[in-house]
Amino acid sequence: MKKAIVLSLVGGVALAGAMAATTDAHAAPSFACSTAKLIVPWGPGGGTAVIFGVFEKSINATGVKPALKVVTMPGAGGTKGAKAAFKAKADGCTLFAVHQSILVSYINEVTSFNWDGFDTVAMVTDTPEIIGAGGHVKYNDLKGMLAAAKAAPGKIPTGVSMGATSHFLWILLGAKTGTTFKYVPFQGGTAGRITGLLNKSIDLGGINMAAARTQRKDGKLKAFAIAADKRSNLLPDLPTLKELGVNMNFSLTRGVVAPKGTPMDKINHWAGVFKKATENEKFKKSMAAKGTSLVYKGPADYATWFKATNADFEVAGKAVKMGRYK
Amino acid sequence: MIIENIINASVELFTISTVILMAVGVVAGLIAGAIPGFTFAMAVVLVLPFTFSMTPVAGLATMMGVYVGGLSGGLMSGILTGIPGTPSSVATTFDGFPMARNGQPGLALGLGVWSSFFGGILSAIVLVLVAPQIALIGLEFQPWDFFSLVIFALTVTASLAADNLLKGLISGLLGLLVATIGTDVIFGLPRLNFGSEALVQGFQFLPVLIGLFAFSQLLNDVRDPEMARSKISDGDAQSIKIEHRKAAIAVLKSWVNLLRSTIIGIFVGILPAAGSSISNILAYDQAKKSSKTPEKFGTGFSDGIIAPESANNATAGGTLITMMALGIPGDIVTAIMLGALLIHDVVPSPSFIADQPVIAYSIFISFFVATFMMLGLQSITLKGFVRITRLKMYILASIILFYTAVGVFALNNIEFDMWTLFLFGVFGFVLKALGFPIVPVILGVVLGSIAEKNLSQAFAITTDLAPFITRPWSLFFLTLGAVSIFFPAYQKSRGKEKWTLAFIPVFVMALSPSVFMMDGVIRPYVVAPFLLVLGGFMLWRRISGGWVLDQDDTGALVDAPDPSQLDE
Repeated sequence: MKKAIVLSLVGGVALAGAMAATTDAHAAPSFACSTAKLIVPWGPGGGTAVIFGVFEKSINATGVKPALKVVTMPGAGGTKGAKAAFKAKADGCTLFAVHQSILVSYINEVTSFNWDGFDTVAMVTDTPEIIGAGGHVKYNDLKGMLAAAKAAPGKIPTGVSMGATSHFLWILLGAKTGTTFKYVPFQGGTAGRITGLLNKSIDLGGINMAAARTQRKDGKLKAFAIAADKRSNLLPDLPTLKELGVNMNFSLTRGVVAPKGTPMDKINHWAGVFKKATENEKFKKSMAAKGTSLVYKGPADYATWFKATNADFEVAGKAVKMGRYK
Repeated sequence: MIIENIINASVELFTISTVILMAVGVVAGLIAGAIPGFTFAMAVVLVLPFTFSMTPVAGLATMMGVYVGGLSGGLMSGILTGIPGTPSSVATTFDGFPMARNGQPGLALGLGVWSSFFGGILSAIVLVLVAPQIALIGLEFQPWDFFSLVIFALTVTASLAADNLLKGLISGLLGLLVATIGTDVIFGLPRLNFGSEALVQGFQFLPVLIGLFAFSQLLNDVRDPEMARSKISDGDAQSIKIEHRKAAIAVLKSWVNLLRSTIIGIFVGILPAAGSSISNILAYDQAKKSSKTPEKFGTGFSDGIIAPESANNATAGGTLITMMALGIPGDIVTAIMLGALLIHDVVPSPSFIADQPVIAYSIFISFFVATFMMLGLQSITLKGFVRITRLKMYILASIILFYTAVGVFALNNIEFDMWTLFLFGVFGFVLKALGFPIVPVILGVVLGSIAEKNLSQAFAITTDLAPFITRPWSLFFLTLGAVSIFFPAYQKSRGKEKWTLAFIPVFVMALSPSVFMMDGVIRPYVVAPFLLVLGGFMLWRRISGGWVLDQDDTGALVDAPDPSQLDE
């Protein structure tokens, strides 16, 4: 795990220079930098920073030029880094790591630009959400949960990061099933939410694969559905939402974009670099154990995906009159 | 389960590089603890930037090394120069310095080192046994309970300021105010940012902490040219040999004192917001009161060294219990460690020990290992300490400032963090100069956000205020809070006014209802009646004794230190 940016930057640059002398991968477009920045708008150690830290390592190990350097820039729910990336020079030397939060920030009017304020480069990972509940709730499946929610609209305490993707999971589910929940702010992310489920202060919340696998066994947590196309082979008994009749997928999908106007040959260069990294078997396996699969989509496919996902989010945002749809 | 966790953690911990890093950490802690004006909390801050690039286990092990080393380092300067190296060793000087001047510096140092060792080991054992249990209890804590716990912690901070209650309160409130700047928890709306883009995300905790704590202290150390050019001491302690065997036997011989002081240390550590600067004085006070020869204290008596030095190291185990099991920092060092854990994406909460056993047990084991290392490295450090004290203050201060600044920037690569560091350094310096204690400010910043988070969760679930009183743990902490508010008044009038006779019995009985409301069988039907009976018995004894004041039980603690100096 890479954490200290400044301390290792010097080393990174030196390393990149040394590699440039020995390897020449393919006829790459010429860059104005020896090290490109990948801005991660979340704190070091967070899921996104960790995942892209691994990408950084495996990409730099191939000796590709320019080298890649993850720069974490946390703050303001991921929008501080987004704003910096939005303003950066479109020369292929700055890349930006995103997930759905960019759509949510736009809907919430925290940013003035949406996903299309950038050029898409590559989608790289996919982490499906799991609909979870505390072990203390009375119902045992999605049907029971939805019935309870309909019986008490807006009353079931549900842990979410307000205005973030974990909140949208429930808004979308509500929009698809005609239910509403009572949202309790758990801004710390999944870990805090799981504690809330364990200590019975909330009934529902999105949980991660690790918690679903360990805490479900001893009955401390319940899991009702996974919001993916297929069941996970880590939790083969957990049905998908679609199987249960709710036409909905919800994943945290991570990818890379570049400032608008980055030359196409540079975008294609980076897309190729990330594609190669997603094909690493060892990396695939270690990510799979955490419930994340490596899914590559190229610049065009990634843009298509963003367009469709954004449309879904807009519908949900309008349904609950969020932010700019008030 | 425990064995498996210990083995897994050992594999991570016992690599050559990690062990070397820990040893370096212990030496750094020992030296920093030994230098008056530099506290071990500053040393922990100082190594923090270096831990960013390490694995979480290696980083935390290094910080544990500094923590344990720092708690023991203060005794060197305390015994040899009479100036405590850190506020945690204030009481050590009472008997350590006289003993050294009586021609037994080697024995005095040995007593200090060995009591630190035993206090540390005992409290590490308690930590391993108790923390997972407290964590299980912690899972009973809902937002209301956490909020009341924070309220209790804030009353402790305020009442520790004792005579300076008002200034302590103002400091704490300033901290809370700082915590409100930035994006609000629920809606993500900016507040108190005065239109500034940089302030939208609020002040980052670490630059605030390092500024308030380390930078302000450095400014204070070089506040005029004379001080800046001064050396810490001109002592020549190189020839002193620590008398290990004699000292170890002496410490074990007064095992009652050792155990009592260790228990005091652990208990003070578990209390949120109270740390080793309190426990060493409390333990000294108690040792003197229960001694058969209280008149020997202050003349170079061995029990006067054993009590504070075992208590201050034992406090580490206690503060770690609260931090690891509940995610509430017990003192400044654990507040910094909490920040370090967050950097490594480890969020201490009641499920932390169960979810992250490797990291949790690495902290446990490194506490043990660091305590052993401290024992071995103390003699070497003694020589280094003497060398460093010959450096001029401004050289030391600028080197330290440089590293802290690099560390702050390396964390997030945000320029504004440097300004935060600077701003809060000056702010802390001014506060200190005006006689306000710094620790309540920092605890206000840390606890403020925890309180706000839990209060907003509580209100999102229900706007009813009743759960604050109907939930047992919440009531329990509110009761403790009420007691701690009245504690300074009790301490002042103890042995002088008759109402103080009722204070402790009433306090014990008041806890009974909240314990009775708790789940299970033992707490409501065994512990709660016991508390009631105990309180009643104490009351009855005092009444049947004629309700007269006990003549021996007079006065406050020995030389209660100035609260502005209680900055660990």
